[in-house]
Amino acid sequence: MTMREFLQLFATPEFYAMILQLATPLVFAALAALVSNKAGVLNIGIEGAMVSAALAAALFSTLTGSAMLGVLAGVFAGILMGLFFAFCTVRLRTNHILVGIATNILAAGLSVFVVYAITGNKSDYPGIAMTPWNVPLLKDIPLIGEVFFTEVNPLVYLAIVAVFAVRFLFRRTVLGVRILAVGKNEAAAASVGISTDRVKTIALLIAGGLAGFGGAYLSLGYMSSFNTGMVAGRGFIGIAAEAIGAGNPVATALFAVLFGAVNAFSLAAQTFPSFTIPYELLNTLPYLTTTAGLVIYSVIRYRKLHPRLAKKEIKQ
Amino acid sequence: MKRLSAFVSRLCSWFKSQFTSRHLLTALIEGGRTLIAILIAYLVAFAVIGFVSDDPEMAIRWFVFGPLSSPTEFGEVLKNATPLLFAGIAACLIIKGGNFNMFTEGAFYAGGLIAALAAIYFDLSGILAIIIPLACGTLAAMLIGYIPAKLKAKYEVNEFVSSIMFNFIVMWIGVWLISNVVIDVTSGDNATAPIPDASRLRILFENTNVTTGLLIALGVAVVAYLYMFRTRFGFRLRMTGDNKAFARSVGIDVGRAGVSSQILGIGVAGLGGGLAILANYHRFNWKTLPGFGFDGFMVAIIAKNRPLLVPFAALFIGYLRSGADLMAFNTDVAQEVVQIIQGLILILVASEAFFSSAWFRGVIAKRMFRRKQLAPVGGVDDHA
Repeated sequence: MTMREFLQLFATPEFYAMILQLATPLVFAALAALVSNKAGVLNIGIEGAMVSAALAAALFSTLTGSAMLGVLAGVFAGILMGLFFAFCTVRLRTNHILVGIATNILAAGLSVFVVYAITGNKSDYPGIAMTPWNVPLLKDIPLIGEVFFTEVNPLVYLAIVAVFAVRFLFRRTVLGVRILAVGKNEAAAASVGISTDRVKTIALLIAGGLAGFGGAYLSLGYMSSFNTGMVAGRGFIGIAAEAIGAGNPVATALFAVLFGAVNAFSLAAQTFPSFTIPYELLNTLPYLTTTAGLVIYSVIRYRKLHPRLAKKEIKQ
Repeated sequence: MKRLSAFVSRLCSWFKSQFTSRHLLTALIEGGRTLIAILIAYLVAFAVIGFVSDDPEMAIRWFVFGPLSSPTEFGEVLKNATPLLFAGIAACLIIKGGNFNMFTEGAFYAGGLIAALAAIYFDLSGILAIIIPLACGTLAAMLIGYIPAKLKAKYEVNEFVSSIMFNFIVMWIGVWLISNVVIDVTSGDNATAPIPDASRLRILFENTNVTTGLLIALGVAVVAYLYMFRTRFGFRLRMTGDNKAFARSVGIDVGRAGVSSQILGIGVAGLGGGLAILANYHRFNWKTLPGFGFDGFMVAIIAKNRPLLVPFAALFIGYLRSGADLMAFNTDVAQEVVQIIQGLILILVASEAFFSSAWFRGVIAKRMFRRKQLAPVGGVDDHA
């Protein structure tokens, strides 16, 4: 691939539209991770919540004939998974990570099981895609209009709204502050009369709902069917984006978009005939960048926390 | 002779300490708890089967009794249990060291792929044809697994997320290798060349697929037990996992302990991957992650992180798997029902509140040891 073709890739509005598409589920996943992390829970079950939401959305969209109801069902499924996670961690007091692993095993198994029970095949279930929006007037703006206002799934806008909604939640609402308090110091929060169990549960339900939007977007927005394995670690990438974003919703979303961009690049590069890198290796790109981002962030944090140690190392 | 008698007396006192009433009671309680968890999971699974199947009775019969119906079927149980045993031991080592490194999953893949490649391209003979590929697979897995482990110890990079990313990276590189570089076109599939006969493991029992890999797995379980509970390294590892701050303050290098526990666990997983390939596959053709990494954590939790209990937990999960396979083959229920059972068991067994030992002790104490229990209850002197 010549340099010019490479640059051409970045000049097309389709590429940026693709970034938007691929970043949306990651943004939802990252926000879900953020909300649960603020409540002091490392929520690995996001991946599983997204899987079950994607399936529920596809199922109910064909059942009711309406993509909107499908999305609602997906969100509901996400919230249910959040409730399950909350019940296991808060009521049964099980280790968060183990519950997360169990949730993911359950969701992966259950989704294949349900698809097989209904259709007799194990790989996919058709859904009704949401109709994308064309925003009048704004869509006529060159480039920006093409990327942001032409044929854009409503959930993309919702993702942007959700970022600021989460920001608002933690800055301006009582519930948000309570979640922060519980996450920072559970005993202290309990001592001033906050019901920590309830706050944690609510945070996990919100996280489940956000993950539900992400899953529903995957099966009804990004594609128009549920495929097993379609979530492909996006929940985990969201968790990584949250870790790098250091608890700031906007920064978290930006890192999610960055990972979405890498994903878009790896997909777009596959369609270039002159591009010689095999697609299998391109597929590793999103995971490689996520790891790299996580490592860079951790190193910077480490240097900040241990300034003296870091200096000594540099001298050596 | 003197050493022998000393050994015997030590053995006796060990048994005595293991089976004093208090230990026995705890063991019974924990065992009962696991059984109840399994029972609940089974009931849920039966309900699900009853819901989706046209002939639930038949499905459940295959599921529960199928694996025990013939020696061949029981051989399948053992075959399924072998990689789970490795994965369980790997998870034991990692969890006991206080980490959640999921690279065991990628280690199975990498170990299997490298072992297959070594077997094919080195073309050795005799016992070396088995040992060298396995060693290569194990070492390769350990080398890759060192990265997330070291990053965690040094910079506190969340090992869970980074190791999952590594899993995907290893998998895609592996898929690239078997579909471009080491592909054998005559296979009609994206797979390596056939593994030479010299490298294939011997079948232990006739008419089954049980190989010598099972014996190696049991050996690994014993070695892991000895390492974790009978050496100073194992003690450091457990101490670090139990209470990192305390371990650091008594002078244990917690970073090294954490890394070594993860590396060893990943090595065991890599060995398991290599053995799985040499035992049951003609070519390496995995196009997705095998899933043993996550299963290993479940096996370890069911076994309460005790290496010597891992074989039993692995056997149980292997039995579940073969039952589900038989059910899927013979009836209209998909074998994924097993994942529902596994998820539920994992949560219930790992839960601290669900029928906890404290809860059980309370009940048993009320029933059986009422007189004993009454005296100290409410005594302020307890804390003095």
